[in-house]
Amino acid sequence: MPDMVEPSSSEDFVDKYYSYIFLKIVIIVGLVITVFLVAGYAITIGAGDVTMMETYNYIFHHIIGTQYEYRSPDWFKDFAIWNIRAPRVFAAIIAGFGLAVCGCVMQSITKNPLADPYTTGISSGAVFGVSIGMVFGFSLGTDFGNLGLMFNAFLFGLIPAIFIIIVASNSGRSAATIVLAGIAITYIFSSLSTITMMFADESTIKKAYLWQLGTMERVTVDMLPIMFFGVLACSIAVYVFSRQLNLLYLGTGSASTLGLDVSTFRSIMVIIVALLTSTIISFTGVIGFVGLVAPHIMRQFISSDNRFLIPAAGLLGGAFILICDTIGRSPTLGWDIPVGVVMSFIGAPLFLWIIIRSKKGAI
Amino acid sequence: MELKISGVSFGYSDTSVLHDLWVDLDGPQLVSILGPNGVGKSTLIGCICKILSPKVGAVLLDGKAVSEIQLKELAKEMGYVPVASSDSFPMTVVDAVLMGRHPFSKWRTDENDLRLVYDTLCRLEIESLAMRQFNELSAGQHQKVVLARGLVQEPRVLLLDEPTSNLDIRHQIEVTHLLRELSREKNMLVIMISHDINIAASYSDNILMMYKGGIFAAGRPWDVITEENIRTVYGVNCQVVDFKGKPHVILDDTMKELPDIDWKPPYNSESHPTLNAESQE
Amino acid sequence: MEGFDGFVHERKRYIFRKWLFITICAVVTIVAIILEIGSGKYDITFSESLDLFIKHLQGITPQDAATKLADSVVWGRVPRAIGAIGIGAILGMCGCAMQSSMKNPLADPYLTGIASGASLGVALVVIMGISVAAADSYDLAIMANAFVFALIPASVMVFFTLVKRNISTSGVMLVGIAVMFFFTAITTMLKYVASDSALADIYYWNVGTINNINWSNYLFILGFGLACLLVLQYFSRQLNILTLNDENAQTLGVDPRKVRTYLLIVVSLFTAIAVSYTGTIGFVGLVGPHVCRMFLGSDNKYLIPASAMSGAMILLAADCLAKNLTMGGLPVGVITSLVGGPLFLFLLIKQKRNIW
Repeated sequence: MPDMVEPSSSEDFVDKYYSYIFLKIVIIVGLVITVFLVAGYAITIGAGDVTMMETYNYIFHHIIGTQYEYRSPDWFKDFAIWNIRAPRVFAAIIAGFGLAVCGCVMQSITKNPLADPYTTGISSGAVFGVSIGMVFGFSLGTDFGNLGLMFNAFLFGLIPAIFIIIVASNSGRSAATIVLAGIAITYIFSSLSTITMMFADESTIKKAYLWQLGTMERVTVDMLPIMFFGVLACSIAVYVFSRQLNLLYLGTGSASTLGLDVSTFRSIMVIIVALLTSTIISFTGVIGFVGLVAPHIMRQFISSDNRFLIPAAGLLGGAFILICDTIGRSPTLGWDIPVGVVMSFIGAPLFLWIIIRSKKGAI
Repeated sequence: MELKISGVSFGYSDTSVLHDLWVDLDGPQLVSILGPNGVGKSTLIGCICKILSPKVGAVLLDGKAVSEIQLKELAKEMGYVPVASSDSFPMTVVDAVLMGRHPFSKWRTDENDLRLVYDTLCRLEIESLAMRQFNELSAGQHQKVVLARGLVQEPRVLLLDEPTSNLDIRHQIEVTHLLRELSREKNMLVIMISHDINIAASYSDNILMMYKGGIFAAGRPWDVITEENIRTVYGVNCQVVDFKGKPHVILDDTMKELPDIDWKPPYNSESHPTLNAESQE
Repeated sequence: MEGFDGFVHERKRYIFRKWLFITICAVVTIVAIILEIGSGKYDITFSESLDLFIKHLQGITPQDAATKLADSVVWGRVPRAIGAIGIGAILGMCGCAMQSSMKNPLADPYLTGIASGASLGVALVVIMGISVAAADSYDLAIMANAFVFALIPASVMVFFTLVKRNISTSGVMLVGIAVMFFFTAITTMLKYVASDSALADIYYWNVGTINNINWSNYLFILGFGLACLLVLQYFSRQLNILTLNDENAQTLGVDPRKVRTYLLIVVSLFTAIAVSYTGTIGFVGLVGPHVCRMFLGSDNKYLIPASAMSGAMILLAADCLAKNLTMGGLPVGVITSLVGGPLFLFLLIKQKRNIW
């Protein structure tokens, strides 16, 4: 609706625009601080006493390379924090961030609010890779055991992406066609997994099920750098293209006339999403929900402008997974609840509440 | 047949769009709604056909409030031709136009419906497009198909939102001429939003000129389209000349600043215009 | 009027092509039925099954022992075949209705959260022994639970359309998805503490099988299938109008929100029924309608029956394959995905005009 009162001058208008942007930046900074604080708190949880301030202290010192005397109390604390607790916390943040970013990209590419990182079928490929790894011992990595499974998950996760790229590379294809291709691929690979499972005994079925469930448990401190840099690189790559992603909302026709090579761009984006998602899955299994919902929630506060939505959704995703993981393993509960479960229990009602409260037409 | 707009006001949550509109439209005729962008023309049409609900006031069709009439019943009386850019989907033109018969149709598509569709397509000179896919047409063809759908509904009141915006000059004139003819032929009250002042002036029985969410002037083209009115409402200088008995606007240039007059709508519940068709032709 | 006659003629040809497609589907379905009853542990040739089937229908009793055996084998498979038709038809039609109603190619009959609800219901029975039916029969308990729990997410979705008047179509779907996640979480927790064998049981239930259809229930399924066809066909005209944006639909006398809510309820009910018999067989309800759309366009009057038949065809064919390929070891849901998937991908890549 046209506002009856127009800005009285161009400076006024520029001011209004900048304050509009400023608000978004404030939100993002707020999220960063939240993540920081929650991470600090999360690390304090576990056997042994560490306070939040100590946590920050030790991590800071570890990064700048302070060495402690071997087996001194400091050394123990440093070891516990850095090697035992922090990996899980960092992994949660990184995974949540990466998945939410992928969700933004997928929703922009397919212009479909139901899209998430797994719409491309990557998760089913990864699960298939893990199935054949566990059942047949077939692995594309040099190592069997967990590392081999991770390789399988990663590499097999990329296979669906190849098909999607073939479909997406034709710019005449509507976004909906890409979605359909993803669904078809998901079906194919899950049925392949099912067939594989038929050759498995019951305990293997359970193992496979638990593997893909989505958890931070398997992440160790040596894996962390790979995960971190992988997600960081891909996220930066996505962010660099965030303006172009915005153009896709206009439709392929308009986007082309504004200078975007739609087919190439979509293919590149799918490749990045595939790498990002596959990486995360190979470390943590399939964590759903956050990739779909984090973009939606942040859209309410930040709008669909990917330049702000991507970092904001990413931070929200990271914070959310971290909070849920922390709750899941808090010592007050009897056992270790997988993070996906906690997320759904907390997130689903939260999301429903947001839908109720959203402005007209926003959701 | 009578369409009464009685004290209609409408707004979205924080902005008010229409303020206290009063006008009576009596009998079949062609009425054009003119006015600058954003003044509430589409909103008014939306309120008439129940797409939007007025916050205050009512729209009465033959004495009955539109809000009381069931959707399906209303669809038999009132047709709506939307602005051209709205949806486009894979379907043949025939099927797209046939949808207009939905409020009346039984299970089978009977031959009368088909005949009506064909005649309408011919009248709009698009019968060659009959089996083409709707979402593969040009903007002008698209607009004609949507218009055909509205015509095929054979309503007593037909509302059109900029029905000629994508058409070339020949077809703009033809379609507007057709709408006037149909109003006589089929006893329809045709209300259309138009941006072309001259074509509207040539063919309309009456003109509603809107300004700031209200009716600035209503009546015969000669009464409404004056240099003074156009200057106030549009902020454009012009000359109005007589061309074949109708007012014809020759545009000069825009004014440096829009005149911001303290304007109160001239019409209210006590006194408001009743518009009806021109007696000749 | 030469022009008008030509116009009518063109249109008749166009409609004829649609009916042709549907007829071809019907014929293929019949062929598939005969194949289906012919395949299995004892393979019987196509002509022989056809022969036996017709003779049995005519009431001619076979004379010699060999024919008697063949006859009983073939006839024994009939309920399964009919069951496959009923289930496939229901899934196909409901998928078509969901796609047209939601205007989203991602829609399938399970969009209303049926799969997650049913899984939860089944998990409750298998792992915790809780059921809504006070039945001693294990199978009946599973069916009852699957049915009842399958409907809960849909009820939440309907609730939201009533409570939040201006919710968009995507909003409703997102509600469904949120509930789905919630239910899946509960199911996950249950599975976490489940024994290995219970887990395997649930897994196979989810993949879907026609094994449960037999002489006692095949008529129900057929009946439900027909009922579904009648109801959805009734809605087909309104579904067509829903392709327009909501404003336009209104001006043609169709209240989009009301129609979508009715469809939600209808689809949920019928799909829940189907699922309670066979588990969640995927792909049929998603892809059948799409393929029909590629050939038939988007007129629901033809799409609904066509989707019903293509659904039946796919399921029958898949079951035949399943029986033939692995001596009945492979669940039908796997075959539908494994064979249908690449086929569908191929069609997607080759399609010239976008159907969405």
